[in-house]
Amino acid sequence: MILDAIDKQLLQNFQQDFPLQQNPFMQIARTLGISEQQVITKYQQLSKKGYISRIGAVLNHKKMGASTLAAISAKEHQVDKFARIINQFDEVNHNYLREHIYNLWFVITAENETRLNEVIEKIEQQTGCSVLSLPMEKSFHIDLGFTLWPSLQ
Amino acid sequence: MAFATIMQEKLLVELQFGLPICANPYLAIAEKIGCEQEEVIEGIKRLKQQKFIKRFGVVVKHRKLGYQSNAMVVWNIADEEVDKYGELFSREDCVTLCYQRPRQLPHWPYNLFTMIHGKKRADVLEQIQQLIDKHQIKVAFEVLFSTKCFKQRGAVYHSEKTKQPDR
Repeated sequence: MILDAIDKQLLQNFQQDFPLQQNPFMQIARTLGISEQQVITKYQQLSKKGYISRIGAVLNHKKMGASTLAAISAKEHQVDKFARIINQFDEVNHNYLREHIYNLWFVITAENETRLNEVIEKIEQQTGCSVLSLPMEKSFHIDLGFTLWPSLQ
Repeated sequence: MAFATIMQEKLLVELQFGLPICANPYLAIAEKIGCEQEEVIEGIKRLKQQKFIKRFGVVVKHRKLGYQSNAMVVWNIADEEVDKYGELFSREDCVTLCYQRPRQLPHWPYNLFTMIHGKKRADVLEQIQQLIDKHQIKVAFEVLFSTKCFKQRGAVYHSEKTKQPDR
């Protein structure tokens, strides 16, 4: 799929302050000068083709219970297996392979500290690796979304 | 968990999966959790005000959009200078996240985490070098490029009432 100018605006310009009114896509359609149905169809396509993960809320983990950035050091032949073990927990929302002795990095978000520790313990038991847990102490960043095309701003 | 109402909690559980892409998405959510459309819209506004929601809108997949390279750059900054560098880094365009996290000695000496995205590895490395030159940084750091994404989705918060057992 080739992204046209409208697609790019739909991707970049509505990452924050998505319209909070009965027909949000109608509001977007008005600002872009196209029809509501066109906006809906385009977002459906962008979603289906994997350009957007969702239109929704990015939660503040700090207010939501307990979360941490965790890592384990897996041997190369164990990486895929351990990634699957880690991914089976609903509490894991990100999981990346990185170039480091600690090579599997994942974010765990749980309803409370007890459950968070339970997930960590289960991952340790099932992988045999000790988990490095690095909960956030302070955020210096305000999430404004992601600038994809600086010229569109 | 300090939620104002059960309804807000239900709403938050629903919102993390995203709105249905249809003409009346808030109405669809309202029907799903058993309230009025207005309560959903006002509820989201309140959750934003109360900072339970950091951002409400389109969540893009930057990898798919050409930003293939992402590096987590970790720095070992003296404790008394973390705030200063945290503020400096977070103001840079190339830095998309900037968090302070605890060291875990002896395995992990780094306490400031920045995420830097770019279309290519070389771009990311160049941005890191510029950051170092500009702020005359002399501390130890490491660059952890990601080479594979096994999972990327919104945090899934489960309330006591909606929780699923581990699969």
